[in-house]
Amino acid sequence: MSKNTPNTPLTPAVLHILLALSTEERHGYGIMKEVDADSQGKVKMGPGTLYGSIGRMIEAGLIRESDKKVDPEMDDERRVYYRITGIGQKTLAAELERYREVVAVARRKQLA
Amino acid sequence: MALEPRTRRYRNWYSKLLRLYPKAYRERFGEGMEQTFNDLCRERAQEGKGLFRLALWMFVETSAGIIRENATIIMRCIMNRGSTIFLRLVITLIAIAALAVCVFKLPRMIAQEAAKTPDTAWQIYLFLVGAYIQAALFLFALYQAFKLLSYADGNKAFSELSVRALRHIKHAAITIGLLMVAGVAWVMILSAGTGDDSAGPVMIGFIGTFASSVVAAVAVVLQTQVQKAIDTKKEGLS
Repeated sequence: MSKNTPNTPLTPAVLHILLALSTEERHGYGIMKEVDADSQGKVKMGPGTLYGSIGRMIEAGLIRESDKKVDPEMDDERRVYYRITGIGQKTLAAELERYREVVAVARRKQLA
Repeated sequence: MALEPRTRRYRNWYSKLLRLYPKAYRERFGEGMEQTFNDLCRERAQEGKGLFRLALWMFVETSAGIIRENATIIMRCIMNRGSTIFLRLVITLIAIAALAVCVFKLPRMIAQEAAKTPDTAWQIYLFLVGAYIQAALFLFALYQAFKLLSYADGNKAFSELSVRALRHIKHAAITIGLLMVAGVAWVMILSAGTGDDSAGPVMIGFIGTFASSVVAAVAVVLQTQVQKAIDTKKEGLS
């Protein structure tokens, strides 16, 4: 369905998941915690949105499943980790560039 | 921990809820979703906060996800031409069953009820009118679904025609739901006056309301997806 070309704006959920995975690979709960920290608690994402987005992002090639392993900071259950792909990094960079341009326009108009 | 049995119950319910996801999706993400749910519950419990609101929010949020994923599957089915024959057959059978109920079962049932209380028979007949309006709307929605499938066969799944058909289905579902709510309210008021046991009809009403809300929600999701696909196509052309 809708392909994430570098020119189309990303949904907030997709953008935040990409941001969370840009530094290291994480499992579902780890992504949620990171998104919560990144947005100072403003972006609240439940499991339905999170995994729905993850599914679509894998299909679009933005992220991929990494290994299934135990998180040393949590219990001994094995969790699936997700990591960003090359396309994902490019898409994130393009999106951030788009934001920069928007902010630049706003500055020129003395809105920010 | 004092919360333990309740947490376990929430976990149980959540894993039951996840069964409503399409099979492929559930096999892929079900375990992860359950783990995430458990992690969030544990975090909440460690903070010493109540679980009810968090659990309720996650149930609602996940239900929305379930509707979205199932709608996506339906969409793919529609786009995959071979399977529309099966769907058409299902729609036709449902329509025949609904018609049969309207023609044979409903009048007899209503006549029996009316015979029990001849003084207030008009109330029962009012119900019959309501039921027929709902049945007409239901058949109308089925007809629109049938049309939608024929658009898909003619490669016109992503057209304004589809959007219109979906909008009709949405409106029909919402109207049926509202009529159900009105019916339930009325039954409750009546039975409060007479002291009759109204649990049966009220339950049916609630299930009907729930089912029509789900249909309306699926129609909304499909409508936005089709609209988005049309818009993307237009952008590509311009």
